[in-house]
Amino acid sequence: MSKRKFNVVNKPLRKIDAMTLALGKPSYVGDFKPNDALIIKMLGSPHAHARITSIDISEAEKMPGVHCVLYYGNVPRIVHTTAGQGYPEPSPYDTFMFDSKMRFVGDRVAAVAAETEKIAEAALKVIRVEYEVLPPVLRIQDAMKDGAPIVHDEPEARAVIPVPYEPKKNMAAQVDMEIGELEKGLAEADEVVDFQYYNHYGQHCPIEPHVSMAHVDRENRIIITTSTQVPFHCRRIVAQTLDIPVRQVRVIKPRIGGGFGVKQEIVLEDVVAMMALRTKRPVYWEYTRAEEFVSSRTRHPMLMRLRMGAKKDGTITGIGLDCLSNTGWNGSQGLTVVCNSGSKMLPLYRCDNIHFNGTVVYTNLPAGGAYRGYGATQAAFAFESAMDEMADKIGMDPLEFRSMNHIKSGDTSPVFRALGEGREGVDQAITSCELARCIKAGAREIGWKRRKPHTAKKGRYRRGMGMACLMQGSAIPEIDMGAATLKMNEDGSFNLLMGATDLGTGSDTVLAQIAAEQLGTTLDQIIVYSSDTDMTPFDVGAYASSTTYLSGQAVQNVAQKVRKQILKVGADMLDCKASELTVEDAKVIKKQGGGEVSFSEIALHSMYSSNQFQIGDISSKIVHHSPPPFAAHFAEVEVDTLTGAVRVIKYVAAADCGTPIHPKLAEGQVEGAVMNGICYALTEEYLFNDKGRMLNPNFGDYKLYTMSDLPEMKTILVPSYEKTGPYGAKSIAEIGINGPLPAIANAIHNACGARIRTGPFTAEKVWRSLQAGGELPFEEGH
Amino acid sequence: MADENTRGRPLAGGTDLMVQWESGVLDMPERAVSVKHLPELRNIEEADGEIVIGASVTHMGIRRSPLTQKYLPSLVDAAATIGGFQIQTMGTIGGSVANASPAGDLAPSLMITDGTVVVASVRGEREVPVTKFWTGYRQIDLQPDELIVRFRLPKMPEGYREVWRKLGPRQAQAISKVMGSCRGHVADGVVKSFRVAIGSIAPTCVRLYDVEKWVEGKKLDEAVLAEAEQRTSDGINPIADIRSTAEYRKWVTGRMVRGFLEQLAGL
Repeated sequence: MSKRKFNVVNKPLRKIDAMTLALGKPSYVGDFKPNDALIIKMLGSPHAHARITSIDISEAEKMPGVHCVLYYGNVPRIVHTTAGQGYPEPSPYDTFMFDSKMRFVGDRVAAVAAETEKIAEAALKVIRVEYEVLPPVLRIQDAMKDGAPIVHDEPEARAVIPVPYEPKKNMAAQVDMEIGELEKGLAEADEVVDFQYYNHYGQHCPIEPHVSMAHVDRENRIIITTSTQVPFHCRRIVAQTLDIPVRQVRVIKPRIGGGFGVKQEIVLEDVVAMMALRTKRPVYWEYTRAEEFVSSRTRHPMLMRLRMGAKKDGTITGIGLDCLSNTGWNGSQGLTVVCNSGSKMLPLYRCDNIHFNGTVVYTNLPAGGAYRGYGATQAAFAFESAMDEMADKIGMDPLEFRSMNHIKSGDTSPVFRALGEGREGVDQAITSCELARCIKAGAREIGWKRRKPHTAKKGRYRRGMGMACLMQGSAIPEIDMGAATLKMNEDGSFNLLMGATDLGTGSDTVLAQIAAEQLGTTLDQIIVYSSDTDMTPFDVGAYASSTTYLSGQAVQNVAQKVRKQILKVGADMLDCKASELTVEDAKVIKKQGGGEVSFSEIALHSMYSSNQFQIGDISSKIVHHSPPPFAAHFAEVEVDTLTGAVRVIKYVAAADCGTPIHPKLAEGQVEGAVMNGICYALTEEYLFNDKGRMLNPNFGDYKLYTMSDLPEMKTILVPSYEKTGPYGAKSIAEIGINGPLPAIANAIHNACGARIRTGPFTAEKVWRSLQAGGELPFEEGH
Repeated sequence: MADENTRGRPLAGGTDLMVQWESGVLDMPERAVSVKHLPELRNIEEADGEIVIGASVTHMGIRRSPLTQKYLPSLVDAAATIGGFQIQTMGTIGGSVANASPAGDLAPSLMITDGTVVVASVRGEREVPVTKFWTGYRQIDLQPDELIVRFRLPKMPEGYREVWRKLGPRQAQAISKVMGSCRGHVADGVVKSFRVAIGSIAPTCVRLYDVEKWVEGKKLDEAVLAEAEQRTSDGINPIADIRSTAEYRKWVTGRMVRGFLEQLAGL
């Protein structure tokens, strides 16, 4: 790591939108709802799998105050994916705006736009629908069995990139990769572990659910204001779905009340656009919390088998990971999520024999999508639980076992090339890795030396410690592109226009810091505008932990270009060569001999005096690397053996994200992700009845932690310097959520001997495991 | 209240009713009458060995009163676990009892006092033992023209202890899997008195009379504790719902009663 002196980056400055948001000034989609907006409500399917045999909307259409009813009979039937990904998308085309086939409880039957919410709801009640109910696929294990009902039997369903796709078998994607020879590796081992793990459904639970509005302007263009992470993909997919040119659509992203991946998806925008076009009125659609749970997107549940062989001395001889992923009723992000299960965990430990299989299946349950961690969360649970199980078998301290095997700076892994996002990956060597220091710092903070085996513990309350090592990526190499525009104003301030999407992460602040640092000015001189497809250049959007690393480089590049222009004007004004000048404190200064002009003077000169031109430029960045951030997480828990209840006493997350551009926001990302992961590990759970209906789609029965449930949390940022990143930065937003499942599972085992391989770790499950002597038969666990 | 044409649904804090109206669990009534600010319903007083709590006293009021803190400690502890701060500030004891949820957090602590509910109408006042007031799932012994006005709760006697315990998945805004209270007196390891009530395992909160009777007079050794636990589990028939399984509730209730006895004995 190199020590560098910065003026603006690496400092915890005030988030640029903090005061506006704290004062409650209009910021979010809902704040801009026009008074005359029509309200949209949706009729959801009562059946998990059914065909509409007849539908009558006439009564609803006649109802006073109803302006439009959409259903499969009056909209174009255009197959597409709802996944907001680069084009051509790695997700299969398997979705229509409306269809006559229902694929989950809550699937779109029809939508109504009416003067008020009450009228819209009343109109839904008079839509007459008859269904032919079909047997549903409700279990991941049943999806590919012979004779299973077929979720996507429509002829249009297809993959748009060359990947295995067999909808007639309910197979939405598949990837298989081998390096070396797994069987040989296992045969060479002194010990082999072979276990199954299951991670459960979970939802992002943004406080602001999906919300979109649209109107048609005088040029008949559709202006969509929406809570999205992917404004440009949204524009493209809406145009595709409505069969209109991209130029007819404009997407504006205001402030976002949380995304975490769920808003990397086109969930409402196709319908609001169509409604606006049909009614010529502003329209507004906001999901209810229940709809957010079932009809937006979730974390892909995965059934995983992990095999690992190791020698007594701790050498890992073989790793096999099979993931059977449930993508629900549509295949959104199914392939890429499962690819990440392999590519974001398998390189973490050195091993010559690796086999990975990811198979993604359709079911008649809510759809998976992008969710913070994106497959790595799932794999980390299996992988890091198995690391502990193996350490136990070979009699090594789990920390020592990991330390001797983990990847280090300068290493590479064949997995990087073997597994990309739906295509071959990109070779890369690790150029920054402070995992060893993360492990050391975290172990010291939690007091790892106090850790004793569970057999040494007695009494009702038993404490234990567990840990997990993690990695993620920073953007998708050779795929993700971001761009930024920068222009100078008379007072020496700058407009920074970006397609990059701040969804509450603080990326507007982080990117403005990078611009200010490069320009030699202060943060308050950067006016940020993001994102608006008419006004800002393209960016893939906020996903794949890309914004700081990728969009940050685009910003750094454009600021570099603008800085050159400023120096050139300064040289004209000071009558010297540009190479004799530098920028500092919003001024151009002669390095030697005195003489300076302020940015404002330079801007005025270039606009009004001589050789007039607009100081400004645009830059794009495509990344060639995806440097992983690393982390070591430690949990101390207390198990109440009387009730089976698990309480996290303390949680330590030590993370290497390169240079934290904004250390407080980086810490906030870690803490938010850890809290997110802790309640996913312990309490969050989708409960379904035997017909596939979710029983607890509300915050009363789907338990998120409140502030009073939080354990003591300690975040340690261990800086490194990633030479390919802007000012040495890597990503930090996702990695934190991957730790709690395995770290807590390992801690529970260390506390009381119960090994839980299925989430969530409820009191009931821990209790039953203890009753069963520490382990439940796997099938009972989920 | 007397005239059914102008009668309104009594409304105190609204923490249950407003949620149920909004979600459609209950139909919104023609009219609602706020009873929250009636001064007669807002006092906590001491009288003849009893603590008298007005029906519109809030959970926060129960938590903060020195009288309840001293004489009804398990009621205070239970009030502190209801909802969150906002719910406790609005919600009332009368409303909680009238809502008659089997998971109502105050019920066990009221039941173990053997106190009474006082209801009033133009016909006069009537007293019902707390243990008989809940007549079935979400049903109470109250006529349409009657209003719950106060609770008369015998103080915890000198030398007695009360214990409250709630099992839920998180600290605040959590509906219990199982919860319960006990009031008792154990001297020299011998159970002199034991009353225990458990919520969330039956259509109403229940007193475990059989276990109480069996354990009274016994010396608390391991065998007695184990049998008390077993008798508790055997004597109940809890439901399975989205909050927990029947099997877990049966077992954990036994453990809870055993834990109560251990705590009373200072084990």
